[in-house]
Amino acid sequence: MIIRFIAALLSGIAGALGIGGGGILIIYLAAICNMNQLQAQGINLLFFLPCGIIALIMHTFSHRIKWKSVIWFVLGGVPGALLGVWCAGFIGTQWLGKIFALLLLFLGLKSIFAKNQT
Amino acid sequence: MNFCMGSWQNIFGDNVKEKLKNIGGGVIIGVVNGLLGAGGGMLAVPLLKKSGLEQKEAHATSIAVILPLSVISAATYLLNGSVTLSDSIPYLLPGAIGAVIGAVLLGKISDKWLRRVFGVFMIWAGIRLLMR
Repeated sequence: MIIRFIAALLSGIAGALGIGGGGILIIYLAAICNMNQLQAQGINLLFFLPCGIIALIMHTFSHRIKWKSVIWFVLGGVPGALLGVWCAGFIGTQWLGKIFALLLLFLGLKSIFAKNQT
Repeated sequence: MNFCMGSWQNIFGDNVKEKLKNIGGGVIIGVVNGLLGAGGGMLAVPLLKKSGLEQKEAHATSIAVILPLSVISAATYLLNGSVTLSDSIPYLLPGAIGAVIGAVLLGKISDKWLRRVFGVFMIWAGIRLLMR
């Protein structure tokens, strides 16, 4: 219960800092709680919504959001997201977990060995 | 700016090539968001920077891009039964508190070591998930 609270709290912090908050919650759910990959991903997506709204409101006041870019990226992103979800169902939770694991290994090595990060 | 790009701009009155690139970038971000339920921001920030935004602008803008895509992906996950709303409820409040803390900390702390620690954590989790 407390660990769950801490995992979600850390995910929120890391997400706002831009260092992979989504990763933390999925790792907690899939690698520690042994939840199936698709369910973990679904929780993470739902989890992001309130966090994202808070971050969006805070950034709106900082005037850093370039809405012109947002429009075009979202225009491409919506069909992309639907395609992605369809692929996830097609691939299945077992293989999806392996793909996610390989991505983690790659990103983990990258963040340890990269010298200059932005 | 070469001649070809210039004439594109003359015909459409705007930079069409740049917009198409942004739409294409959006497709990639969307696919990853829907497929893996995460990682959209990881792609959105560099892609937005490539399109001419500064780091902090790219970071803020990436959230505005990812949020609607996550709404679409999450709704589809709910509809196809991969997840239920009640599954996510225990995580929402601590996540929101964390988001506020993170936003306040943004730019105030050095995240160099945080990234390293997180890197080790990712490798451990990657191996664990591969073995599963």
